[in-house]
Amino acid sequence: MTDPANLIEVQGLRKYFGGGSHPVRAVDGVSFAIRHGETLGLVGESGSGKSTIGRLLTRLAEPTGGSMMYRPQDGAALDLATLSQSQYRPLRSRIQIIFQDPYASLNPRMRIRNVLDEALDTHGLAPGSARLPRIHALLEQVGLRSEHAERYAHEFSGGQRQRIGIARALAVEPQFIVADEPLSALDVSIQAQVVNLLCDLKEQLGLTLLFISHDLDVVEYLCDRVVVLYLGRVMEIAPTRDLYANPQHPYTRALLEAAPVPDPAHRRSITLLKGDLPSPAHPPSGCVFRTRCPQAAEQCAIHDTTPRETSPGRWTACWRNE
Amino acid sequence: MSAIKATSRLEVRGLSTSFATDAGRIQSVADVSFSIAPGQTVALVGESGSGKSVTSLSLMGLHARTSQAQMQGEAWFVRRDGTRVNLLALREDRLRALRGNEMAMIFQEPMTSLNPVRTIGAQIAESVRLHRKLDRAAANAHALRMLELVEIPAAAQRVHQYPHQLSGGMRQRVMIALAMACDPTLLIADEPTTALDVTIQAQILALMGRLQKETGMSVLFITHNLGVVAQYADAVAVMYAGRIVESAPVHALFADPQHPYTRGLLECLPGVARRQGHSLAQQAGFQLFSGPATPRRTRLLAIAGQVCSPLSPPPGCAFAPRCPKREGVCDCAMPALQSTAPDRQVRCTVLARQPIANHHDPVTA
Repeated sequence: MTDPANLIEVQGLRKYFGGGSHPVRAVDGVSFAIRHGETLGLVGESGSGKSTIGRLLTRLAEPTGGSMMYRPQDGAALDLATLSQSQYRPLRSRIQIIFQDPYASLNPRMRIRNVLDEALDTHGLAPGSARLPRIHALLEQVGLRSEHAERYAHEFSGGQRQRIGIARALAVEPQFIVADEPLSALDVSIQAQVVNLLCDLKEQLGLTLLFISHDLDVVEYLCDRVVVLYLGRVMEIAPTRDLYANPQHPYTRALLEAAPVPDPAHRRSITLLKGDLPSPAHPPSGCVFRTRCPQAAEQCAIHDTTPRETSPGRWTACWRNE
Repeated sequence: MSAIKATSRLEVRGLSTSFATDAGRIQSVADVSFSIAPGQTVALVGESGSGKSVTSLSLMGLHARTSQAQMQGEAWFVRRDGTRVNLLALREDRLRALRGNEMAMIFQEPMTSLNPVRTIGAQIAESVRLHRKLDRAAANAHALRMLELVEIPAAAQRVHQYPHQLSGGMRQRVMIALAMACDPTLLIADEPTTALDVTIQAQILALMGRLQKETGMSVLFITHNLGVVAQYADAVAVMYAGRIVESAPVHALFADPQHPYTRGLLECLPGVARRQGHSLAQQAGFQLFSGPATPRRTRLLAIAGQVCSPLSPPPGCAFAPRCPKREGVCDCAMPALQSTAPDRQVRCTVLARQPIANHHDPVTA
């Protein structure tokens, strides 16, 4: 997988919660790469491990196994999985995260100026008289006004809070941002504002983005390539256009089909998936999707479902796509 | 919707609800009128704070006493025996006899709506014992049949389980079983699939559609998801800041949205932008999805600004501060809901003056 175009290479990443003989396998052998300057979508339903992967990359959770190579263009490659927290700390100015819930991720007792101060202080950026102009510039960059710096989080709407979360991530001039469901808590009319903001910032600043979402329409709109997860494993990786036009894995097909199309002229009956997500503590043998797969066969229980490259840039875990 | 009024199962006229807050009374719902025919699904669509949930709670009489809700207007509900009752003027004991019986409700979050310390079977049985006067054994048998009706696997075991032992999708099925237990003629579903994943959402919507077809019940479907509306509803009422701004049959609304808010709402969906925008982008010479460095995305059309505070509503149209079509008159008075076609209504002064003139240019913000 080593390729100079890659900024991040995740290989065999695992995160188990709980000990004993049946830990919860939240992330179980996930491999993918993120290229310099691209937006990679990470999609899946609840329990697929998508948020956990975001937290592992930012080391807000400790991986159980596997590697996460970080290959900046201006420095030596590092394995994010094996760094200690103190070794990782300087990297936090390069790798940032935007959280899902803008209500829970801002300290209610801090003025927005102090929220941004804290980020800048931590990395010794814009000291002294450069500080306040920098804070005002950051707020304007995300579409807020400089006088907003003196306010508290509760004085803002959800969309504005998410803009503050984005400003905080941008404060340290990162090159890579993990956006963990940044739109889920927002109303649709506000979602569009934030999507446009993310697109603009990415173009202006040359950011690389890992966009974690369950909203397939937004992912199609925003992302260059998509990784589809199910029960902590990769089902399919493909360029966005190919994935949506021609999904190869039965799970991807089911997911795309289940998303309601906002057009009453296109009502259709769909193949419903049976049942619920299996327990991640007792995943099925072979393919983890086989208990709900409309095409499940006996071979699915024994086949190796490590994703294989079926055509350049397209990976799928279904053994049928040989 | 006027054509079906004579036969509608529920007809709401001029519903207004206000609440007492520390900062004074706020008007959460104002002048809401709609009707639902037997077997019909009407969707109330709106963003947070638009008043769609307050509307449903007003109809069910479920406002907390401490909120000091004041309701005005009428809500005529046709009972099974053919009599018409005004839900807003009904005595509490009479309303209680209807609730969970002839009219039932499904809530967004089943975990907070189900009793955590009682088995799901007991909760369903309670409803039929109360309303149908069944004895314990018959009620338990009915509970089991209801769980089978909503396609819960191994219903005979599940009936003895507690809500925490079930997945989110299963809990929502239990909520539906509970709502359907007394065979209601009106089902109010308040964001029933919002907390669910898309594949589970598809299961629940298919189940609700099947039950509706079998029983002929009317459904008031409250949601913010326009995709679900397009796939599921017959008629739509779009709410903004407590008022209906547009109501129309579902095909007409999506094919030709008239109110600037409805149009903005549809155009800011990435899925809609893709279908409409990509052809435009390609005509303009953009290469779509060719690589990270090339310009390839049409910007999403966003509605600027945010919803006004209910504590200080603007003097005129509530959407005016965000509206691309705003004119001087918009700030003078709240526009009335006016018919633009036999079953379509729009609340917009500008549209009313120049009916449906050049409304095909995009809302920009």
